[in-house]
Amino acid sequence: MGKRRKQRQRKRKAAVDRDVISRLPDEILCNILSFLPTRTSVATSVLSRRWRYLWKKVQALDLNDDFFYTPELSRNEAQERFLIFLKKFEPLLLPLPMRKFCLSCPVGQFGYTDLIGWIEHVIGRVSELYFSVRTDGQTYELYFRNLHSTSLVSLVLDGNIMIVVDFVPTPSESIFPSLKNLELHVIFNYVDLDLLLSGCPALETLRLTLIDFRLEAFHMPPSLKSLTFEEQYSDSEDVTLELLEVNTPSLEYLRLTLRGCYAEILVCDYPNIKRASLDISRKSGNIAWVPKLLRALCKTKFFWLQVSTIECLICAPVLDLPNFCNLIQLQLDFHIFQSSLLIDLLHSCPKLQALKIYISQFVDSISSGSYLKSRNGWTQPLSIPHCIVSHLNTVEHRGYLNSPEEHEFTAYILQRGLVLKTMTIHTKYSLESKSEIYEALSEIQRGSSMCRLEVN
Amino acid sequence: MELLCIRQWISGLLPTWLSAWCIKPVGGALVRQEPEYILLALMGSPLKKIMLCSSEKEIFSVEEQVMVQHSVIINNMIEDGSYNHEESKIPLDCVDSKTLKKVIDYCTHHTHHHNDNQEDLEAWDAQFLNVDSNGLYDLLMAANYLEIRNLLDLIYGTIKNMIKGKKIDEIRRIFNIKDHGFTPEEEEQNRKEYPHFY
Repeated sequence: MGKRRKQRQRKRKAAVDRDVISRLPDEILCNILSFLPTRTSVATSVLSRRWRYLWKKVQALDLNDDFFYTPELSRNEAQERFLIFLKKFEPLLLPLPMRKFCLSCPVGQFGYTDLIGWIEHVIGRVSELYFSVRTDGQTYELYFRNLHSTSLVSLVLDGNIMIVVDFVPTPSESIFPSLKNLELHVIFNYVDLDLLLSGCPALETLRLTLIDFRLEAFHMPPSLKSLTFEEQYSDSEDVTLELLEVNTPSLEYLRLTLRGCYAEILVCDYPNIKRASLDISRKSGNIAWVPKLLRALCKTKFFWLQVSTIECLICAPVLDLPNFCNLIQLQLDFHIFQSSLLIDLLHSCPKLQALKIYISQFVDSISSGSYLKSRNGWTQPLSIPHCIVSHLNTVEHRGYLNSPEEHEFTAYILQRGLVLKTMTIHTKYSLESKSEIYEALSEIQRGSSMCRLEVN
Repeated sequence: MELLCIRQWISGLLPTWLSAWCIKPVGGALVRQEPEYILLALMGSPLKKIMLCSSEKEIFSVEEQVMVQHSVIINNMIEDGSYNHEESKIPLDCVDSKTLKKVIDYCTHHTHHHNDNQEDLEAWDAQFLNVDSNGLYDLLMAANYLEIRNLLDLIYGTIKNMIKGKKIDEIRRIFNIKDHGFTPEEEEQNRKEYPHFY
């Protein structure tokens, strides 16, 4: 090897071998450490002299009950040591600046008051608070009267906590005026949830997982940009709620999983909506307003309609689909393949590029014979949906059962899809059936020369 | 001769009232403004560019909108008027050419592909950060200096993942911490007290 080349190689190797990370300034290293659990950031104190006291400057605490975990201690012992340690932990006691506080641990009856004390102690000065508490089956109350904070920007509460908002905020007084992100996976006294939300005028992201939700009327804060609302019921009793108001003109992301029956929904136009996912169970009250919600979401780019929502659409007396002028990706979960609804939807999204169809109906090999001879619901559309000839380039079909209707639809797309690039079919059938399906579809003349067919 | 025809054609495209007003003051007199410039102005100004100057005195031209969207420092400079479009370039003495080019690459991609799929953007980011530790360090310092929030968070996330869940010896290997600076007694003490960290 030439002398020059060796020199260059040695220089390059030396450059890479330098310990660059320790040369970063304190501020940046502390920022990095603030993203780690406190246990890890404390551990870095033994990395080298440079790192010895860095963890003390980190303005974040992320504590888990595995803080004292070592292979020698049992889980219970580690947890006990942790609770004792928290009582004496300096950063909690002193009024030091703290940006983020995350605490996740199990708690028995005696530990709970202490935990609430710490929450109340830090909430006034942190900007991010994450509190997850697993209790021994019992539900504990958390009173919001002491939890007013102007600095809080993000709040996540999770566990068997019952939150009680025991004062009514006046219009000029908000509980959390700076709060932008709120995530609640807790139990509520439901009257209070509406009160709490009305006290967060700057809220942008809201994620709610509520069990046994029984509020009469539920109003979303108008500043919202992202809403994820999921409700579950522990019993299958039919629950009817009066009103859901989603008057949020800045909405960009919507994900609804509704199991109850809502008598009415109030929506507005969502001009900025980008992604929407709807899982709304087919109850008589819901069927009436699902089309209205679809119309409000007409500007979305990505849309996912789950099985229950599709069933609502099928049952709707009048389906007045809006023009989804921006829609580029559509995912539809059918229980049973319905080509007529599918064609109607394709007519309403002229710029659609990707279509995903998931069929949840399962037909095993025993009954597949009779299934394949079943009624063919396919009728040739009077006019070709615009997206098929101009924009549609990807089609994915999962749970393909090779019914006559599915076959006709797939053939229709293959023949008329002028810009189609990939058609992927996933089927649970055996390998021989897969090649049969592949043969049958390959014979169809394709409208697009670059179309690739795949059967998995 | 041809230029005159083109100008006449462009004049024809302008509404008459505007053609009549195509005058600009030059040296105290009013001179007829060339119609092609008016047309350009009507179409919307061509993408405004700014010039960034690296520590190695290399100049990079980039769309103003791209940098303003991502870098708080550059946004402030342009907003408070300390940057003159026609003449000056923004000197970035802390950033070398290679790193500046990468930073511009990041900002440009994220502005133009703003509406892409989350997975596609994440894949691009992962590819973007496929650099050696020196490169990562330089990018981090540059992002910190220019205050580019999303690039900073991205790099923080990457480095955090290099630390999280790893034993001390492994972290030292990853970051090339050859000399930990502890005395042999201190090091032994640490290992005895916290064996599970190692």
